[in-house]
Amino acid sequence: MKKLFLVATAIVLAGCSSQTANPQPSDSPGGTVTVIAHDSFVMTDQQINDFKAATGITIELIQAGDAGTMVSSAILTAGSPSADVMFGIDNTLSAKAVNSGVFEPYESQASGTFKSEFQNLTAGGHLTPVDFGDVCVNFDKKFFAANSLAVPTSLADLTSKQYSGLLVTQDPGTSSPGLAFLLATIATFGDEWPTYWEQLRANNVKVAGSWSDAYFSDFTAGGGNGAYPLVVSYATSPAAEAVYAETELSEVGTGSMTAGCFRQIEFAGILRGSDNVAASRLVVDFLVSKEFQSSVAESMFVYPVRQDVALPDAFTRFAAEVRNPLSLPSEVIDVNLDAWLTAWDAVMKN
Amino acid sequence: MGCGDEKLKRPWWISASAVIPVLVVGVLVVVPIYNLVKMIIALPTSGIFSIGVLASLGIILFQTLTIATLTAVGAVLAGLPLSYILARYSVKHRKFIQALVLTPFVLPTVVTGIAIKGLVGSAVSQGLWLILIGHVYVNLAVVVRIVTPVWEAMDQRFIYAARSLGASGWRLTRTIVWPLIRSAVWRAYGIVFVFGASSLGLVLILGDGRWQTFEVAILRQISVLVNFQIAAVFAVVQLLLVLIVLGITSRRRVVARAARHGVHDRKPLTKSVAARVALYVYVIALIIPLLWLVKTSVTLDGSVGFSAWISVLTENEILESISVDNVFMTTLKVAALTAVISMLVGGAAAMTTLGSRLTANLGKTGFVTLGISSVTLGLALLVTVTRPPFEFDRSLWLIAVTHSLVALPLVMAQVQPLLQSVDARLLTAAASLGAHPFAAYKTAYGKVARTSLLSAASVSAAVSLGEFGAASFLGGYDQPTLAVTILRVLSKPSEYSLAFAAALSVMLAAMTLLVSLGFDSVSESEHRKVRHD
Repeated sequence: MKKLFLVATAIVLAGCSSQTANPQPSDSPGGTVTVIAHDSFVMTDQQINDFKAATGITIELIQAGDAGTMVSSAILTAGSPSADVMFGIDNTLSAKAVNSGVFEPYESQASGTFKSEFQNLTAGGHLTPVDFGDVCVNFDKKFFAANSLAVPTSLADLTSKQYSGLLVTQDPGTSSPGLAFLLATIATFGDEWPTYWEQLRANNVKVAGSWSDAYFSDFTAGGGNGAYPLVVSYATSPAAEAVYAETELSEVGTGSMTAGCFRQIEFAGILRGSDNVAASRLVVDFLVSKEFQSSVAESMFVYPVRQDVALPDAFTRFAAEVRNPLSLPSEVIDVNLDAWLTAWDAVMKN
Repeated sequence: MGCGDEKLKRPWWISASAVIPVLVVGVLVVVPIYNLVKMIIALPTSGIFSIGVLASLGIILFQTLTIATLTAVGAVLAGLPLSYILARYSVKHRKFIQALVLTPFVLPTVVTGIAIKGLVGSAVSQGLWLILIGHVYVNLAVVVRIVTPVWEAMDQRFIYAARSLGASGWRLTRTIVWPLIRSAVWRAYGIVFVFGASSLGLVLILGDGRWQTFEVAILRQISVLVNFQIAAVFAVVQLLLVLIVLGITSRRRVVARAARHGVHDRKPLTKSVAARVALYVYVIALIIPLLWLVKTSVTLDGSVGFSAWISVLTENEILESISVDNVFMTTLKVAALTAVISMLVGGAAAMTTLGSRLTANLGKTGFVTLGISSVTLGLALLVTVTRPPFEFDRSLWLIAVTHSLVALPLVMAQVQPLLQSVDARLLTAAASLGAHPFAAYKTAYGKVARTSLLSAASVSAAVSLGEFGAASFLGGYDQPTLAVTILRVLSKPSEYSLAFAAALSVMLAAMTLLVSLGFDSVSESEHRKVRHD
């Protein structure tokens, strides 16, 4: 028993030694900036160290789960926030957060380098766009070739009989791409969107609980024993397949529809009540700097907002170029989301 | 009339033991939840109590109760035979089987869900029945770990006596065996019920969207609608439901006192074909999903490929800034810390059952974490521990404490029935022979406490290995545990991701087996010391 006690003490001391440093509030640049992000955010140790070497600012990262949890915590603590900078709030939730007084106004000086459609996208001077992606229907090329079936090219196509029982999407109440797909149909069909979903349902669409479930269990090209060659995913998923493959791929087995895609834009903002606003501004600038922007494609599979950043090879070869993405104004989404989800439930779950 | 029922004056430290669970639960659960509720109330309300919300509340309540009841009944029915076999037959690889039973409990629900869908999904379509299969599979461990030790501790002289008086079969079970294991079975039922009621991952993966639990409903309100007022209402109802169920199923029931040197013979397995067959069925059912994971980890692009394993065992490329051995070390450290903390906190919490009614009731706060929605607790911790005045340093220590909180109900559920089954006359006997109260308690309860705590420690370590929810942000971005890493891998679209996640899951299962075998070996050697003195 004594031995067990000694071992236990050693273990406890080992745990103690890996504590992270206590952030010191400071008014001048320098000090620590806490960045709260969702679980898909990637910032490498290299980038954090480089930034510290250049500015003396230490970035501490909190990964708060999904975007909804992150934004919830910010709204609840508006004015005395858990962090200094938030990254990853997207256009479905931005209006709600801005209206709740979550952010400190700041517009990055670098906005002149953004692609034109992002230059004035600041939600009244509160947010800075950092990256974007498109949620599109992906298809398994092998399946369509083997069955001599043409790949669908529009949302309307998905309701035709030849694609019956081939599409899997996600529940918009629990999945971000699932929500984006619903918004795409609303943007396309306006008030008639419930009819579209009735047709999808009649065409045996499957609704999965999460993206990973749909992609890995149901998608025929996901590695599991899936039976659905059409899945709602990202325009960059085919590029991801190429990057993560064990050998260099000259072509990828999946492709993406380029119509019916919904654009998701991710923003960063300074939280109102932060005690290190000056340093936080530098961190936001860093997120839209050339160095960071050239990493977002490969690490998060999203597109940078800057136009002077080169895309990785896999993107230019395999990611679909979406020329006319669909979108809805944040305010409109904020006001109607509850009603839309209730209506969707009524169509799909009865 | 029990002549051993005169009470020894209760030493202060039994009553004081209630302080520890109250303190830990208070600081890490009550304060953050209170903080969260305060913030929610401060916001302008917007018609939360509309008819629509009340109607959906009723539906969700019905669905939660259905899923929870069927899960608990199913798990108990499935688990009791295995508990019986492990308790009363001499099974050659019992430690391995006990460890194997824990693995489904530990694997992240996403992985278990995908595995079950992959195996059974073509025969059973998604919906209530597939959810139940998944739930029973995962919760079998709870029933077996709680009921088996109590069944083992049962003095068989009662059975021999009853048999010699002519009782047999069903009558024997009903009048002799059941009263002795009843309290443990109810405890297990209550905990599985609560796990079923707060299930999230398996309902999302194995369901068809028509069945929800409160946890799913809360997630929908927070993750997309950011409607935490309605989420809070759901969380409160969930908590009330859980408190009621736990209150009903963990009332202290009078258990016939088992004499210390009772008879605990085990029958040889060769004597019963049914037992042997049943054991094989159990082992196969438990191993098949693990085999599926192994198969998936070496399947790349339709044929066999080992690059997932090569990546796991050397430097991995998928997550550039995190090395795999870093992940393993973090996971083991946290699990070890959790086991240590659990033994201390859980031990104190379990001791409260020996105290007065007040002490015992205060000790029951240890069960409260079962009832708090993990989505809600995560949000509460996020807004509390990152801001003054409750700002905590994020560290492995903090994760371990949170994991111990999650494991606390299981520790208490394992240790308390065993403490209750010890004959209190031992205590009075020791005291009347002049022993100091501390020595008297140590003599009566010490060894039971030690062995059951060690066994509970392995459950806590297992819980820690598989935990990824509320606590994952508490340790810092660059120190993810294995379960968190598996989830990150499953967010990257690639065939390779699934193989890689499967390989990591196999490693996780292997770790669980090792940890469980390790603790149980130590506890076995302690147990042997008991038999020989």
